[in-house]
Amino acid sequence: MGAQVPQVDTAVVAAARRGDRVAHARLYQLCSPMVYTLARRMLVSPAMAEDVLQETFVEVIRKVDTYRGDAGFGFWVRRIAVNKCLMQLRSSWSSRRVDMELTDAVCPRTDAAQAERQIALERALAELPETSRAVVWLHDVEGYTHKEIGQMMGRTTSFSKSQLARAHERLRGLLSGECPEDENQVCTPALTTC
Amino acid sequence: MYPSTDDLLRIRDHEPVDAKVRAVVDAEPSLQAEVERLRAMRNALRALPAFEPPPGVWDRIAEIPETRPGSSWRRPLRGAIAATVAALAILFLMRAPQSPDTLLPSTTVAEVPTQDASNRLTRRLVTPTYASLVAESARLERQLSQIGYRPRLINAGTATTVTGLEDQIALIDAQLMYSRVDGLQPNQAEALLRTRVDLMNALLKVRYAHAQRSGF
Repeated sequence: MGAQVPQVDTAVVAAARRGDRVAHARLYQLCSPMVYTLARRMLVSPAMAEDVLQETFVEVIRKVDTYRGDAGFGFWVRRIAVNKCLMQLRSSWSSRRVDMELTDAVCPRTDAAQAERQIALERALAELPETSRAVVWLHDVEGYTHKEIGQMMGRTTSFSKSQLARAHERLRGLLSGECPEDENQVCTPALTTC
Repeated sequence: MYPSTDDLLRIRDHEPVDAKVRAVVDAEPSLQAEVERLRAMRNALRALPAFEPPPGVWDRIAEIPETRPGSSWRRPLRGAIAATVAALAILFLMRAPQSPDTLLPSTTVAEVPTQDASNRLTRRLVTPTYASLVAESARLERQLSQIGYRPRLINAGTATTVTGLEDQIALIDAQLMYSRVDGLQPNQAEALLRTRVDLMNALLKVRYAHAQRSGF
C-alpha cells in the first residue's frame, strides 16, 4: 500500500510553530514517507526525490507559522511537495533519462506473481512522459481534481484530462504488450510477452 | 458516438458524461470491461508500495540555518521587503497626481507596482496568434478524444509513430507549462504551440487511419 497522508496532532504543529526541534523532527518522521514516495513516483529518480524531500521540509519548517489549519497538516505538506516535484520536472525536462531503481520499496510483497505485476506497473509508470506520469499520479492516486492539477501546472482542466487519458492508453500498451496485426511484423517492446 | 478513453475515465470516476455515451457503454460488455480495467489500474497504482526515505536527510535539514529556531535570517529579509514596499509606495504616490490623459500609453499596465510579474508575462505571451493556436490545439485534442479508446491490437510501426508523436507533444507541453517562469518570449511560445498543433494533426491522422483499419 502506498504512503497515506498522515494524521498530525495539532499539539505537534503548535510546538513546531514555536520552533521546537523535537516537534520538527516528529513532523519529518510522520510526513517524510509520504513526501518521498510521492517524489519517487512523480520523478522516478532517487536523487531528485531526495532533493524534493529535503527542500520540502526546509520549507515546511520555515513556513509552519503560515499554516492556517483549513486542511489537514499532512495535506498542506503534500501540496508543498507536489509544487517541489513540479519545479524539479521543470528544471529537468531537457535531461531525459533517469535510472530506474525500483527495488527499495518497503511494502512486503506477499507473492511472486503480485511482485511481478507491481514491478511491471512501476516500470510502465516510469516509462510515461513525465507530465503524463505526474498527472496520472496526482489524479488517480493522490486524488487531486483535474481543475487543481491544471492550476498547479499552469494549464487548463482539459489539459489535465487529456494527459490522463493519454497516460492510461500508454499504460495499457506498456502492460499488455503491443501485438502485431500480422505475422510479418515484430512485437513492440513491452513489459510482458505478446 | 463511440466513447473515448476520456469518456470511460469519467464513467470510472462517476463524473457526468453524455447520455448517448453512457447508453453505448451500458450496452457494450467490452466497454464495461474497459471501465473495469481502468478502475483496476487505478487500484493497482494506489496499491504500489511506499518508499522508505533515505537515511541522513533529516540530519542535513536540521543543519540548515534556516530551519534552526531563533534563526535571524528572516529579520533582514523582512526589512528588505518592507523597504521595497515603501519605495514602491513612494513611486506610486509620486505618479498619482497625474491625470489619466497625461500618461503615456506605454505606462498603463507595466508600471503599476502591485502588478504581479508572472501575470504580466502570461498576458505578454497571449498574442492573437497564440490564442488562435491554443484554440486549434484544444480542438484537435477534442477530435482526438472522440476517436475512441485504442484497441489492443496495433502494429509495431503505428505504435512507434504514435509513441514518438506523443513524446514530442509531451516535451512541448513541459516547455509551455513552465513558460511563465522560464521567461519564454511570445515568438518562442508561438513557435512551440505551432509545432504542437502540427504534431497533434499528425497524431490525429495516424489515429484516424488506425481506427478505420480496426473498424472503430
